Order: sequence, then structure tokens, then C-alpha cells
Amino acid sequence: MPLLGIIEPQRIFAPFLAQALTDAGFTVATMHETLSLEEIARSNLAALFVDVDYLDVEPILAIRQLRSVAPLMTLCVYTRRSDEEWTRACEAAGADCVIGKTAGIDEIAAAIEDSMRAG
Amino acid sequence: MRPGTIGPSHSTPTKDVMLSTGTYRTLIIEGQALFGKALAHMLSLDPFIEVVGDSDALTEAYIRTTRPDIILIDIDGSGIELTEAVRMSRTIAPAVKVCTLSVHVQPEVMQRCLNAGVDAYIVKDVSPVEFLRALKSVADGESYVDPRIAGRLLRRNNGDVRLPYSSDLSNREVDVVRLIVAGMSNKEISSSLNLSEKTIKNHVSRIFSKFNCTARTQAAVHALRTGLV
Repeated sequence: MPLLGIIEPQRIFAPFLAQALTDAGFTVATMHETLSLEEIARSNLAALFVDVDYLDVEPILAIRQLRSVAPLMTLCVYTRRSDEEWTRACEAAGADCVIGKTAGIDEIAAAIEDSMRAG
Repeated sequence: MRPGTIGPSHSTPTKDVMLSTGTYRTLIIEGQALFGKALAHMLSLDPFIEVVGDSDALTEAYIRTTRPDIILIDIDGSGIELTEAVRMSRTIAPAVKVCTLSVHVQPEVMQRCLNAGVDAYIVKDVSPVEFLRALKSVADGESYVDPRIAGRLLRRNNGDVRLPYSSDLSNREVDVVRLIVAGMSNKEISSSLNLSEKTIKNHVSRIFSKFNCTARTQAAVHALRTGLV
């Protein structure tokens, strides 16, 4: 089963999200509150779900850094902004999918699966 | 949007309305759908809190139906106009406590919320323990602000640093200032925020005007000294 990592600084939300993704059939292998590039680089994650709204690093820069350390990993960005321009900017920086925060778990799971399948 | 509706969408009470039983009847207005569910789940585990609703919109009817003691409002994703939401809530329920939830740690954003009349400003990355502490403080009649932001304000006061202009910055201008401090050029900021370079130049000009300075370095120093970034 491909391994999924989560970066979610919202501590109230992180365990709920991990459980919801597990229930949706993912194997959640790692969960971090902060952008831990070295650990991501060392990991064998197939995909990473990252909430970019709370990172110490500016979101587009964070996406570039993640893509740089893990070029083959599926990178799913979770963000409160969901307009087309922002989505394009995230994708240009290296995101495989951009998921708005109005999305429910089914939508999130489908987006991750589709991106992993697209490879 | 319907009259008396603040926010984008529909609402569903999560429990039958009950007479007060010594618990804090809490209404969640949250634009981040899953976060709202996570919050409702966490709060439902506390014996002193009763979650009476979880929605992405606030309506007069919803307040009347759920009769909350506390309303939690996400100001980032719910599309709610906060001043109007507070006014409407207090018109219907004068004693209700209004707490805002946000991703922002800038004192300016918190100040705008406090100016709108809220009782608490909670940043959404706080721990569950801190969140519950905040809620209980507010229910007991106190105000609550995120300690990180309070700390910044205290440092400003201790340093006797005057803040003549920074509180007037918009959220976008704060974003731009942060990137100026990071050493980015207008072109890089433009790319980072996905805005045109001309728009960034306009933001920078307004920031200079509000900071009463003429150079990026001065703006960066001002932002750092005042705790803006």
C-alpha cells in the first residue's frame, strides 16, 4: 500500500484528518506539524498532503522546496485559497493537486488518488 | 444572499435544542468543512460544552433556533462579514460570546476582530487544551487572545515602539511586507503571490506611505521593530 504523509499544523484537526484518510483507505505513515524537508527527503512516501496555510515558509516557496527534495512524490496542497490563479501558481511550483478547504473527505481522497494514479 | 444571512450556505443543527443544563451551548460557523467536524468532535468530548450547531453560514433563524452561549466564527473561509455578524448575534442574543477563529497571527488582523466586538481571537493551530481554555475563559466573562499575538503586543509596549501606521495595513499588504522582509524583489513577490508586478508596486507604495518611509529596507526594519513580521 503506498504511503501517505501529512503536514498539518492545525493540532485540533490533524488527528481527525489522519483518521479520516485512514478510513478512506490510505496508509498514513507520517504526520508533522511543520515543514520537515530533511525527513521528507529521507522518506519513501508515495504522496504528501500538506496544509500550506500555517507554515513558517511562504506557501509557493514551501511547495518548491518540497518538490525539490522529493521530485517523484505526489504532492497534494491543502489551502484556503481555491481560485484558479492560485491553483495555477501552486501547480507551477510543483503541486500535483490543489485542494480547497471547503472540500469534504471524499473530495480530498479522490483528489489524492487521482494524483497518485496520474503519477 | 437571503436577508438575515451572513455567509455562503446552509446550516444543520447537530443536536436538538435543550434547556440550559449548565453547559456552554456552542455554535460552530466554519468554512473549512472538515475542521468544523473535527472541532465539533473535540468539543463534544468536553462535559461542559454542548455543540448545538455546525455550519458554514450564520443566520438569524439559526441563532434563534440553537440559542448559543458561544458562537465560534471562522473569519477566513466562511465568507462572513464579521462586524455585521457580531451585531446580528448580539441583537438576537445580547449575552452571547463571539469567538473568531483564524489562520492569521498578525496583531492587525486580531485588532480588526476586536474592533468588531468579538470576545476572543483564536488561531486555528492551537492545541485542543488551549482551545478549551480559551472557550472557558470567554464563557466566564473574560476575553481571550492568542498568547503569541499578545506577546508581540507586550514586546511592542515594553520596547516603547510606536505603531503609527502598521495597524492600517490590509492583509495583502502584510503579506507583501513579510516578503519584503524576506528579501524578495517586486518580481519575486509578484510570482510568489501570483499577482501582477504592477499590483505589487502599488501595494509597496501604499506600505511606504503608511510606514512613512521611502525605501524597502526602512519598511523591513519598521516591520521587524514593530513585530509585524
